Amino acid sequence: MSSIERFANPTRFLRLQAAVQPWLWAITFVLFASGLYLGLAQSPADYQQGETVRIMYVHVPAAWSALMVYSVMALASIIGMIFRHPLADLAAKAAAPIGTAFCFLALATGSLWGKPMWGTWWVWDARLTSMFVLFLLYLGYMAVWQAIDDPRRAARIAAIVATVGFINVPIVKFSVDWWYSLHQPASVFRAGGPTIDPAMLTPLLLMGLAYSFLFLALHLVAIRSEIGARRIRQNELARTDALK
Amino acid sequence: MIDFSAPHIGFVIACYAITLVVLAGLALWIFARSRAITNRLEQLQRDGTGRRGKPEGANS
Repeated sequence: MSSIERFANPTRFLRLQAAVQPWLWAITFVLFASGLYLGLAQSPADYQQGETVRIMYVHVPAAWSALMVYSVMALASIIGMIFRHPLADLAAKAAAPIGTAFCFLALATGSLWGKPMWGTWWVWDARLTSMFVLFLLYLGYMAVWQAIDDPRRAARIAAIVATVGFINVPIVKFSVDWWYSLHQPASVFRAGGPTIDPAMLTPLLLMGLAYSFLFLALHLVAIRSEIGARRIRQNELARTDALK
Repeated sequence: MIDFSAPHIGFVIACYAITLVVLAGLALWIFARSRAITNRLEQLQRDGTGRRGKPEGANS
């Protein structure tokens, strides 16, 4: 049995989740505390943007996380489709609301950053539009799970939505290179290394890690809930059958 | 250190406030759902219903 299969067993997963959960919360707290301290108290204001540059420490990690969570969702969906493992479908389903929240935050904080810097709340340029499409994909994915009663059928259709929608992830990432955009080009994950001063890069990376660990911590709780919800459903179906 | 008298500081505060509200709301919703599901599972166990819905001892 491979290690993936071993941990994909729901009972083993629940034992592992209970063991690592307190550590995940502790790491998340330390990362947020240090990221916010360095970002708000230690890093300098930008020579052009002034204090508004501090929006970067919540906006950029939200955008990174929205893309990462969608990638996790698509990967889990593909695993679910190929190996028919129910835990993979539940992992994808549990990730969706978290990714939606990150995507909403990226859009909302981006809009609040755009107004003072660009003079507008919103423009339909490549980066902003592709990010908005990502938000709609998240909503569409969750709508499929809500609309279809049979969980196996819902999982199959939702997995197709997640997998096809994954094409939007590289579009979001490279939109600033492929098309003219008001949005600045990549300044951290780019060929040639980051262009940001270490005084700003360190809190940015710490906040990126904090968002990632927050996702991991919330995701494990959400998967646990999905396993429980599935057991309740099976139980209630069996009870209904027994009463017939 | 952040300068609270700087221009556009309201946009910065709004960003951090909305982030706090959304992430705290998300965490509370996930915890509340987890608690509700755990309670329901415990209730089913108390009712003496096995995993497959049969009351305990009703195997035949």
